[in-house]
Amino acid sequence: MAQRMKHKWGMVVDIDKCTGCQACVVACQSENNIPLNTEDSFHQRRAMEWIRVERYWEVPDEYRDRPEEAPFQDVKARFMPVLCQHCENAPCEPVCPVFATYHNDEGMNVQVYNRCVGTRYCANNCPYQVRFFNFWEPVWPERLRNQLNPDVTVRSRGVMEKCTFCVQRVRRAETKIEGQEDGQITDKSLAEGNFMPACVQACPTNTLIFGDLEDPDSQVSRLKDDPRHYKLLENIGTEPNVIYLKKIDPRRKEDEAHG
Amino acid sequence: MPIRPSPKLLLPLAFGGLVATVVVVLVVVYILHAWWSTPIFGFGAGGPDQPIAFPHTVHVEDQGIQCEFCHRNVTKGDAATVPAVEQCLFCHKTVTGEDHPEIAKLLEYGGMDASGNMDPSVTPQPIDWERVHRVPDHVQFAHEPHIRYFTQSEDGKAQAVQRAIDNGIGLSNPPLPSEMVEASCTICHGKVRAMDKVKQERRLKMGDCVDCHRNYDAPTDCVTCHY
Repeated sequence: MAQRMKHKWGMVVDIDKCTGCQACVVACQSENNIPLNTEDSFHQRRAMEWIRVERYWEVPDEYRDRPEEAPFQDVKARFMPVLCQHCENAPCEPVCPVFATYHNDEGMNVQVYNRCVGTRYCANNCPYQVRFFNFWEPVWPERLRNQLNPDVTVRSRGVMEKCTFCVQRVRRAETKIEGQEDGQITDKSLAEGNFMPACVQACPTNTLIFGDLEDPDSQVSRLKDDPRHYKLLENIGTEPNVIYLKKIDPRRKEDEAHG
Repeated sequence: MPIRPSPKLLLPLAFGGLVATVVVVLVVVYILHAWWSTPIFGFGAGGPDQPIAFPHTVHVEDQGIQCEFCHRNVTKGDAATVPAVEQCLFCHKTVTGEDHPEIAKLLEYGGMDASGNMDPSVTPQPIDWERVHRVPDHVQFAHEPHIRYFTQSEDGKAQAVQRAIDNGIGLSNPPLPSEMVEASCTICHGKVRAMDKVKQERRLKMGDCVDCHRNYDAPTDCVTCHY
């Protein structure tokens, strides 16, 4: 086998920079041929968002028991983009009876649509709720037919889907960059060729940072050991490849050092 | 005592049994054939009829046009691309073929009269070619990396040259770059230069792809093609 660990893709999400603008959600939706979410699909809890921005309201500590009494100027909106964490030790993988989801050599958690038989075990076992099941045949309004991305499969009914780290762009980067002589995948070459995942490319504040964790010079490698770093639900041991950087709040004592 | 049908019913029963057997055998043969060979016989195994009977024999074999002269994107991107009508007309504006029926059709698609002059009464329109090679929607195939492998790496070159020799395609020594491209195309598409009507040569099922990927140390990870 010629397959070797060439790259280990990962993402850093700097919560401190997120403004909750949802540009990543829109970019993902259009890049990956995700069906339109109507009001109905949200009511039925069947909306599909490979990346979503969770919103929390934070009140000062002394109002924690009675948040409704907190003065409005002290209540802060907090945003957290949540996407597939591409766990090293993914709970979704061992439960799939047909091997439709597995961890590949590039550190990605992969969903193979043509293998999936739609048992939905993986979605039930995912602690992050980032897997989505196609309960219906996806439909787009006539005017959006030509908007579909030809590089991404349109998933049909009965298939599980989730964030792929925009593997179509990674593949393109591999042929376009590494196919050339002395071509090397670095942060710079990825950004120049627009090979970053759609959400990363769309993010106006650089909250989302994508790169190769194997490459010691990449931005993600440097940021993954930042003092602010943490992982979602770290205690359950899924070892995600998506690393979050904590929000800095000057009102909090332990954050004073950051200014 | 076993139940016996009345003698009056024997003939219809035997006939019905015969018909049922024939139907079952036909269905089984159809399924087996559909699985083992693409396309199925009777469904365009000889290649579909095209709106213009374009002969590769004339263009490639007789005129010596290279593959990538018309399929311009094949060394650059995912799709090999079928040339636009305008591209055909680069030559066929002057090569009007003296009332050749197929070239007349082409000129009409290009909005021209029979002598190759623009005719405002004819609306130009693209040609609706019938697709010959098709992989399922959940397969992502790119031509460029394949051509690159077979024209640039040592292993790939050797394989392409071997396949060209097997197919009886003459190569210069050393092979010219354009000949190497044709040799690479031949690996999957067969000897297109000898085809009056293009037809699918290889089955192009997943096993076909994976065999080759295994033999040439290409990645066999699912997300190489399925995403």
